[in-house]
Amino acid sequence: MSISGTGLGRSWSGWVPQTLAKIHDDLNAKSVQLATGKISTTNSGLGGNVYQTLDLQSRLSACDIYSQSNVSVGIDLTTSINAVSALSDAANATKTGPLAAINSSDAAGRSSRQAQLKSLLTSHLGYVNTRGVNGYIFGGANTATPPAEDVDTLLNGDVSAGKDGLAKLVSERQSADLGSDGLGRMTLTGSGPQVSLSSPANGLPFGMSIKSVSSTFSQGSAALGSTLPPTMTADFSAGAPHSGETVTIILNLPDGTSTPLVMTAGTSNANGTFAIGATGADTAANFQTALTTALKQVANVQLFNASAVKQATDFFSSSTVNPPQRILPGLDGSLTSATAFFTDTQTNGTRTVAWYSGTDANAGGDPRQDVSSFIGDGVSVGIGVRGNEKGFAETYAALAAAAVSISSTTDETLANAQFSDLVSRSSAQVTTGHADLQAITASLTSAQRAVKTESSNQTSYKALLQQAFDSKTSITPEQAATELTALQTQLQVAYQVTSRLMKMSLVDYL
Amino acid sequence: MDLFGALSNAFNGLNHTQDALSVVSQNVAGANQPGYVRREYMGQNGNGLTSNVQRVLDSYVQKQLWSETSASGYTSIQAAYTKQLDGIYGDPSSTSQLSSSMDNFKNALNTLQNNPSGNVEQSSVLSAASDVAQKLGSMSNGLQNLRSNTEEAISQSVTQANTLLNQLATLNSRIKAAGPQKNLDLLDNRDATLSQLSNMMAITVNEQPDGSVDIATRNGTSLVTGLQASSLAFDSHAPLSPTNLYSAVSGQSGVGSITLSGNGATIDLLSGDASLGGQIGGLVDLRDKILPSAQSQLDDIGAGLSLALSNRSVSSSAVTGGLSLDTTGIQSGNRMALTFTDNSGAVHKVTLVRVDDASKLPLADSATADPDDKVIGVRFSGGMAMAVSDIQAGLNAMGAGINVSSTSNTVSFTASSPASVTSLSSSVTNMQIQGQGNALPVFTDSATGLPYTGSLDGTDQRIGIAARLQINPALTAKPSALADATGIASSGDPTRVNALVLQFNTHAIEVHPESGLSVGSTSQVATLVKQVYQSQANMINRLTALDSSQSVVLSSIQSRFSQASGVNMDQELTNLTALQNVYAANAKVMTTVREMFTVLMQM
Repeated sequence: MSISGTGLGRSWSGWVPQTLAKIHDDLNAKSVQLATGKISTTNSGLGGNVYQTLDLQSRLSACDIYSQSNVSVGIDLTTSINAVSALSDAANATKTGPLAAINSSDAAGRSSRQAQLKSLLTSHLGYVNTRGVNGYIFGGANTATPPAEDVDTLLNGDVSAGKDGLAKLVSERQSADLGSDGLGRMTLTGSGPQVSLSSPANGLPFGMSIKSVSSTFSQGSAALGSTLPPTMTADFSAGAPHSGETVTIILNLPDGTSTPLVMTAGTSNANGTFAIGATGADTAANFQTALTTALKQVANVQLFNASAVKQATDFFSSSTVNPPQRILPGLDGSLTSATAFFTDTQTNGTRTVAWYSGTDANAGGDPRQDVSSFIGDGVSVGIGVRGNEKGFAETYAALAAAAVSISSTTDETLANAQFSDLVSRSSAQVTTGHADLQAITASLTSAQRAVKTESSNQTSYKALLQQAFDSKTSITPEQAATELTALQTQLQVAYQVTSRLMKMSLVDYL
Repeated sequence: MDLFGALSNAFNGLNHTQDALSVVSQNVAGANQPGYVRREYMGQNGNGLTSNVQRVLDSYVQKQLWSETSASGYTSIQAAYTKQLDGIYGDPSSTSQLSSSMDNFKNALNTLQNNPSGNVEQSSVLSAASDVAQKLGSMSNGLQNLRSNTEEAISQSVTQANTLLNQLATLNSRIKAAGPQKNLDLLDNRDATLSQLSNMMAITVNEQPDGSVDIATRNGTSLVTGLQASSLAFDSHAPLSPTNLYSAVSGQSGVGSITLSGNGATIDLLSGDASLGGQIGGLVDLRDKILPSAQSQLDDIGAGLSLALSNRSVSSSAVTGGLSLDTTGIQSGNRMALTFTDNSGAVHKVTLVRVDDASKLPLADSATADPDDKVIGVRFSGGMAMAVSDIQAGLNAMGAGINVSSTSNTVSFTASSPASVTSLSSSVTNMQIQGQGNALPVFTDSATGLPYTGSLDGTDQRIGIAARLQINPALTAKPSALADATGIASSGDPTRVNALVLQFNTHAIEVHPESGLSVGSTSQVATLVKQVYQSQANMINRLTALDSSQSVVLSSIQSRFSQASGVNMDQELTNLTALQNVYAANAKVMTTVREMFTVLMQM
């Protein structure tokens, strides 16, 4: 305020305009409060509450953001849980439907069932390409592109790009597992009264091998030697077993299962029986003949299918960064004598279709943490799922193996045996896959619960914050109006008194 | 006694009454005239021809009034500016202020964490970041506009004060010429002028025996001596920018200085510590203290935000007898922190700052906000040998007993027992948006087009950075870099975003003493914004409260002055009535004497 005169008359005359102006300013401020509902619209007007107001403001906006992101996280979680269960249910339905029906079909029926399986696989694989709010949800950290290749390409290969699909890989694997003599890469030799069956050389990734041997022979013997690779030696030099006595050979198959092969002493060489000969050497010769037939049967049925399932599982566990391994032909250039795989990487020109382009399940780490969503201050949930995780790979492999395995035999009995084994093998793996998918669902459900809990915490926290914020920044109309009225009265009184004082002058009374 | 005596008495009475009446009429007429001091009729002078009229003045109260007027000029001009200053910060209960922009930036980063490859989320982060930069910029501009306004206002006030000084010199000469028969109107006029001048600046007034006054500033620099007025000059530098700061060194000041010339000497009135007082003092303090400190707060926020996101920390490796650090990529202004224990067991904290401008060396310890560290400026521009020798020289000056050596870009610090090197690290600004780790230069300094590094070369880069902060154009061209530190990371990888969020939330940013915040030497960026708002609100409320309490003080001193020296109309009218009666009584005496003479003549 500027001071111009000092000759003002009465002692109170300097105060009055100032005081009136002050009340007037207060009155204006109050009417603004009444109009806006806010204590102040300026920074200084909040006095000592500025920091707290801004702090509450920050927390409130964080709550808003979290509630927004919790909605999208919730949607993504629900979507992935639904997709996983739907896949699991659909796989089960396929197992009891078209898959089971293969068993009771003739050759034409089988191939139409297989075609049906292929088309069902299209819809099953579609789940991997499910989109959530924030991109593809089954590609691990890679949410930007659809993770799964289309079914036809992955099964039959990409001809124009010169890439092989699963069907080719399965047939190659079956050749390598069966070997040139069809004995599953095992060696069967006989010499005099002795027959020995050896597993493939240690470390050979193909074929089957002896797990254990047990016999009920009262004369002669059949037992596993102590050397590696496991070798069974049957020795009839001490005499032949009695009719009905058996030797049971448990064989390991590539898919991790095993199958028993039982040889019974009898009168002829057929159907797992071998004829007891006159001499040890005769019996041994009979045993070798019968065992050859039996081994070929196991190789053609169990090994053949186990090979397909194993290859399919490997295929569905692979990804673009970890492409399917291919079989290195043996020294003679054939697959039947192959002894090793080689990694068909992109650098040496991949010739194999990789079905999945998301984060690889073999990359290690918890797949859930691929996508970590923040749902509160410092609270995050993992909602990532990798499309080639165990549950997915097992389920797809089971169905795909059944869809692509082709038997070249014209022997209908053998074909029936093959498909019967294939169906049970695939069905078993669908069941395993079901359990593993449920484990994924369980972990997603617990994340979903965490989101729900956090959301309801946020809601009540936000209400508290809003209350605190309002108490710092808002004024109720009632309070503002009351204060306004009080000021108004005060100002009126001041005006009246001032005007009376101003009017009083001796001049008027002279 | 005879009738003639009575007649003469009555005549005298009439005379006195007329003179007194004239004083009453002056008082009544001057009642509402600024500067008018009530006059009192003191009888007639010795010669019986002129009346003795004096001003009723308590000169002690008058001096107090002037001094409170200056104080009031000081507080009222500052309070007048607070409304505009307050407006710059916006309404904390709305979401359009800086703190909410910071929240939005943080929230956008949080949202991006949940979907790092999302284009929408990435562009939200960029727009939120550019909003922060824009807010900082417009707030800085607001502050600098206010400073420019103060510069203009100082210029006007100085011109006004000059006019008043000249008037006072003229009045002095007239009062002196009027001699002992002083013209009361001139004195009133002079006092009113002094009152106006005291509103402009704090003054001391010394009345001389000849009636003239000598006027000086608060610290004794003479403004008017007798008939001689010094002249004030102001070289306005408006419009002002953050780097326009006051310097007492002639020719180096970025803002106008008030110079006083007279008696052949020229003095810079702003060079002392004491404020000039009054409106001018208030404006100068706004321009040179209050507003620059507000600017410094914004600069701390801008610099801190930029560095928190752009700087990677480099840790040391152990070498025999000490530690070594790779200095590759260290930018001017980047720092290395070293702690060591000397031979006496005392622990020392040293900050090594890259400074290429040799004229800035050696650096003062105040170059960093940390009050406990020793600061050594290091030139890397002349290669590692020069850097090592700068560091070694600085450490030797401390008597540290530390040996410095380098291999390629790696500097090693070694000591022999009992001295030891305890810790060593550096914070280096990433100049690229990819390929240098998770730190990301989200912002650049528009003056250089490069990320802010805190360079001390030339003008301190921190000054005014809030006005120059802009979003990194390289990032605008490639928003995916927000989630991709290498250029080859898988698109959904949240590592970089997580790192940025962590830095934003936890990075301790420097708070310089110039900012005048009592929050210690570091804070987190979002917290600092709130601290700044609170401190501004407190300051504005303090200035407003000071002004209103000052106006109470001024009012009360004015009342006291008015009681003694003001015209009280009631009193004057009472006097008037009394004088009227006295006049009538004297006239009656004359009438009576005349009647008595008539009677006497008729005898």
